[in-house]
Amino acid sequence: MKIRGHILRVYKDLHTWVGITSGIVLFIGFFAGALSMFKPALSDWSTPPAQQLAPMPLAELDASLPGLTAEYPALAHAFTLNLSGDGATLSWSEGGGGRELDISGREWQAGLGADGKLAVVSAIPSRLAELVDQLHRTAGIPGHVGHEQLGVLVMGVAAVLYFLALVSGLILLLPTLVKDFFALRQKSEKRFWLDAHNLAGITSFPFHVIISVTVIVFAFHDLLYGSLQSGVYGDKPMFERPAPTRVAGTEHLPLPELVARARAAVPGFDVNEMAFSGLGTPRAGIRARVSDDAHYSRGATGGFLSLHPVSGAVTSTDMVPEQSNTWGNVVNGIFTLHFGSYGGVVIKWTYFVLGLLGAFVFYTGNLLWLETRRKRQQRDGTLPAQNRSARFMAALTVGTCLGSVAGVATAMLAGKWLTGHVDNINQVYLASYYIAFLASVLCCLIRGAGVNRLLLRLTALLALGIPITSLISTTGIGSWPATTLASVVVDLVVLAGAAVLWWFARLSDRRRAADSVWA
Amino acid sequence: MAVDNERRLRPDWISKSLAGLIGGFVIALGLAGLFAWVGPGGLDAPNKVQFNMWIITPLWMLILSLVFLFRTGWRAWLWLGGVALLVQGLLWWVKNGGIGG
Repeated sequence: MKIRGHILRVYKDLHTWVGITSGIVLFIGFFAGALSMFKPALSDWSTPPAQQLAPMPLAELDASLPGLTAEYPALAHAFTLNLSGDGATLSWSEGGGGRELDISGREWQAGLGADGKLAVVSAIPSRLAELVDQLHRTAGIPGHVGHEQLGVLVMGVAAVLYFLALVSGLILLLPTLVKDFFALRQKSEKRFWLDAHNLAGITSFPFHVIISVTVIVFAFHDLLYGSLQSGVYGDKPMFERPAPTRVAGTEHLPLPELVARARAAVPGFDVNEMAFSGLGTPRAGIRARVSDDAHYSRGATGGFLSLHPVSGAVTSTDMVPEQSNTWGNVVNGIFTLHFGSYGGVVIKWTYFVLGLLGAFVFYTGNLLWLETRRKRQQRDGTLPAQNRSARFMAALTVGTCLGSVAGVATAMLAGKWLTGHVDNINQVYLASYYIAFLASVLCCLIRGAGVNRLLLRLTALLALGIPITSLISTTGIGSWPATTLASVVVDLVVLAGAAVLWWFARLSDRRRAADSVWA
Repeated sequence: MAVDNERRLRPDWISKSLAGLIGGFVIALGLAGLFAWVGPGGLDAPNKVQFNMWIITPLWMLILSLVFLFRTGWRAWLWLGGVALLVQGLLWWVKNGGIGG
């Protein structure tokens, strides 16, 4: 396909500028997003066995509820039933239940103890998975603007730039698409990285379009709904808030009965958990998370069914996969495409790889530009030395991108060793993430992007320490061994990650032109 | 390939970007509004408001990313402004009983 040179030049500049300005934030979003595909596994991996009770038969749990409620009054207002087969554990907190992540809230859990009797444990639970998710959504940028998180808004702006980068990148590639597609030339180092950047970008293009559009909507849906209200719907309410159902009495039905009703409402689905809220008030409700790998689902780990705890009646199936009307189903499908919550474990791994590839595209994009820019400034056959701003940009890119990886590795390692020795492990995660991240950024800004080799090796060693910690613990020292499939896989993936980081370090050993940003 | 200066794209980054952001948003919102009013199910179809909200962004972004194809920023404003007026005018007509009202 032929595109005029002057058009290509405009879109080349556009691609460069939006890439440079959004690449760093997007790298962190994609890296942490890839990890967040396995949130349940991360939770399992980071929760010590002492805080995990075995599920108790439902009828028995129901029979112990009045006694538990007398001892823990919070149970009279809200709790969550975590189902597993015919049994369940019960968890609750005091006050809690807001939408924002609460990292210092204490949580209680009731279930079967090691002795096979009812046991209650209380802890400030590890929120590693939720913190990774928060890193994914905010790039680790703290603070609020009104009721919105600043990082989410920054990510939304980055996603707009990212959409522009996608379209401009596609336009740039169109004239040579057939020739360049699947080409991975090793003629020169730059050619190789450009080919790799193009190949990864074009093969995952539809994925990137979906992610970019959904992130913009997630960040700005208040603005979009507000404009729709004032510009289109006028005085007509957009959302009909259902009147609270009048139900006689306040006692909720027995747990086995409610579980049976939820299961009957969505045949073929697993009912994973049921969150009871507002008990004893007119706003009492149950939100049941239901999942089935054969269906698209609204949330990251399933769809949602609403029931009334007193009458047991189903109040909404709009967020149950494919149980809504056409509009609801299409919207649920869009959510699904962002979360990769369809097709089970195969899609989870596919999204994991696509997420890491995306991070790779942003990283290589920034660094490619810095070196090619120098070639364009070439006069009389000699390359000019990289100037200060290019060095600064390279250092910032390397420092923040590798810093976020090092931060997560440090948090996981520190968390595994310090669980049980500190009151709130989540503070350890946060502190160790930001210390490693800032150290990496500072180190790069002071010594230049060339310290990437050192950073990559250090991060690889930190990551290597994580599975080793699990291994050591089998001898009773330090933490606890990985006993479930999920936590073994977490350790193995971290091990593979360490190997890849080491390999990257060896690759960049070869790239040492004295006057480049790598010097 | 030589392109005479008349037809060459002028970058006009700021004016084109603003035309795409503002004009593009007004057009996208208007199109979503038209779809809300006269699209299948009309204004009252349950859950449709969420769908309507979702279609704004792809339309908006498409306009924003192609706005740089206009030769100058001035032409971008002229065209997008014109289309925005047209779409919003249509929406106003529909809202005030233009179709079967």
